[in-house]
Amino acid sequence: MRLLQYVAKRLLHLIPVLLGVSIIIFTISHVLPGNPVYLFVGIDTTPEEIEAITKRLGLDKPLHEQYLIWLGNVLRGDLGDSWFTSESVAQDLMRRFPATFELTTVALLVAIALGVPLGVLSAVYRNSWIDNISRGVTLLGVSVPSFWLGLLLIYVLFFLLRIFPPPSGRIGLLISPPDRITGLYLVDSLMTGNWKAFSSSAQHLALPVMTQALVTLAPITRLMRSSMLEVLGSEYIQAARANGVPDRQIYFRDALRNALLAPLTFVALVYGNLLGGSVVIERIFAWPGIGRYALESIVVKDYNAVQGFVLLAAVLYVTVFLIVDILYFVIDPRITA
Amino acid sequence: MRQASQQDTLLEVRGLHTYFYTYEGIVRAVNSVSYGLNRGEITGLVGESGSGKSVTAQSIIQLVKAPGKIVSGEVWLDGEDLMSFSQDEMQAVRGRKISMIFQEPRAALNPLFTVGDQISRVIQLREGCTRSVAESHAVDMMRAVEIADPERRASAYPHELSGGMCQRVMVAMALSANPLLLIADEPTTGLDVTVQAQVLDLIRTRVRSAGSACLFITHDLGVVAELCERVIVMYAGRVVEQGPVSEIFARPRHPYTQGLIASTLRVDIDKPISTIPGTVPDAVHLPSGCAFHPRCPFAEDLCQQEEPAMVEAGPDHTTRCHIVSGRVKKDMLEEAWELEAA
Repeated sequence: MRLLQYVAKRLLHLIPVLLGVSIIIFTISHVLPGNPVYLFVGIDTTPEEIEAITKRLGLDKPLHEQYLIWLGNVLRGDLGDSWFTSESVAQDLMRRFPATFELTTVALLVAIALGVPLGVLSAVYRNSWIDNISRGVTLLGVSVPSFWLGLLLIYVLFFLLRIFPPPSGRIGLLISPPDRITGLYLVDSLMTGNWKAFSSSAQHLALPVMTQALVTLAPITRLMRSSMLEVLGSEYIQAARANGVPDRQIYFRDALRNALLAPLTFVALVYGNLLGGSVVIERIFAWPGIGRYALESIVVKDYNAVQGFVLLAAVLYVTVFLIVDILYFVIDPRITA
Repeated sequence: MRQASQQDTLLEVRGLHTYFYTYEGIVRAVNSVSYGLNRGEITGLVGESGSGKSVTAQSIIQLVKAPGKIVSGEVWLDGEDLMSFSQDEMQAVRGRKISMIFQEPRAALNPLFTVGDQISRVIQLREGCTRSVAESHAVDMMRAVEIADPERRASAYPHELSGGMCQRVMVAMALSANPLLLIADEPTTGLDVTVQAQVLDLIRTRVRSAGSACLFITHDLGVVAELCERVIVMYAGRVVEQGPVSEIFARPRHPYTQGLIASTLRVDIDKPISTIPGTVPDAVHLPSGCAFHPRCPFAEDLCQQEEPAMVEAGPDHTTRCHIVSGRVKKDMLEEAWELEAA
């Protein structure tokens, strides 16, 4: 009951946030210099034709009117048409988002699954060999740029060793994607029992996931380590020890739950960020996600597409934070509705 | 059943050295400390912050935080040398034979678990009983430490309880073991005076009735006079004076103890409160000779050069002072402290 109340309250808070975001998005993309009308015209277009196009796109109306029209459409799920792909932006995004979601989520899960235990171990065995290894790995992870790491992995693991397929997107060129249910290839191929598609898409995921995971894992490990160290040095851990609680229980019951609180916010931050598409990685691995779509739309000044993308990214961000807030609420009894 | 008598020693600490290896140098937090605790008695361990009181306690249960290390010494509990115990054996001692109460009750409780959960977990670990048995035992213990409505309070989180209530929870947890030795590290520092009195009363009643021993760490001499049978005074990692409370308060022999007593507020005598001049010395660079000599109004050359040994100062009363041992011929006048105050 308490939880429901909390969730309802948080959801209400989202309305002004998203409204503010929509205003900012709309304003910024319309005050940028450059006229998108010229993308539609040739050298011999007459001023009359230009005016007609401007009118057709609604660009002759005052800015606030344009905003209200746009907002009304957005609320009806219509993000407008992309001037570049001539398709509905909402459809464009929905087609590409699963690719980003799949890559990001798998990479984040890998980073958490490795980073949290590694951070805990390096705190528990501080200054031991495992701490030193983790320090090395994380130093590498924070200092190596992802584009370089991605290219290196492609060079070594595809070009030299032929372990993984070339960076040609989500699935082998000669393999047809699984029937679309969720848009996530791994899930869809499992659901339809399409093993060929599953294995191919898993292999295609491997390199971008590795790249993304290593970059994400580094700060998670460091944060987990310092958070764990802080908790292990706290009075209540000392008190638990003085009460004869065995080390294993101290680490996994008393300390871990407390130590997870700080990195949780960071994970949310990273996840929210990555769900908006990681432009660099999607580009290197020819990954048909929304990051690449956004990049291409920006280059051609495709207002509707850019607005739609930023709005989607903002909604994703806010949703991730909502989930994390709810998690905090469940884990930490000190947080009240 | 052994009789609780004056001489029935439960815990004996001999030549304990605990050092902290820091970048600035070695901190001799506990330096050749020896004392005994008797059954059924509460022994006060007093000294200023940084005198090594808490580290002494942590050394007994072998939970000294890094970079601290027990360098040498013996700790005999009920005829067993704890220093010869393995990690696992020591863990079986903690929370069973020795329990500890901490200074900041709220900080000493895990914020993410209910207090009932925390008490019953300790009971369950120790007794190996079922969850529900441990839970009902926990509620009984909470009732025993006079927590009103213990069934409801058991499901409260530490942040939902007052500091005094949290300290009762800690006391309940510590006493649920019926420990041979209870170590209380400034358990009442953060509490109001009335709550403080209640918690002290609780500790006293339980220690006396169970015939266990209690090491009560405090810097409050008033509490020591009220609660304890014996007192150990520490300064800069060393025991400088120890003996029965009645003896020490009536005839303090070490200048530091005299200073501590003179600096407590007394309502029955009309005299100004004096302070001990100076501060606790830098732990890495302790003064030569007697560590107290820079602050001592009676210090002579010998005090600067040679560290005094523990000597008899009265019945069951020892101290480290060249004047008491007679190597420095000088009278210690009580007025010296009043002069300092003026």
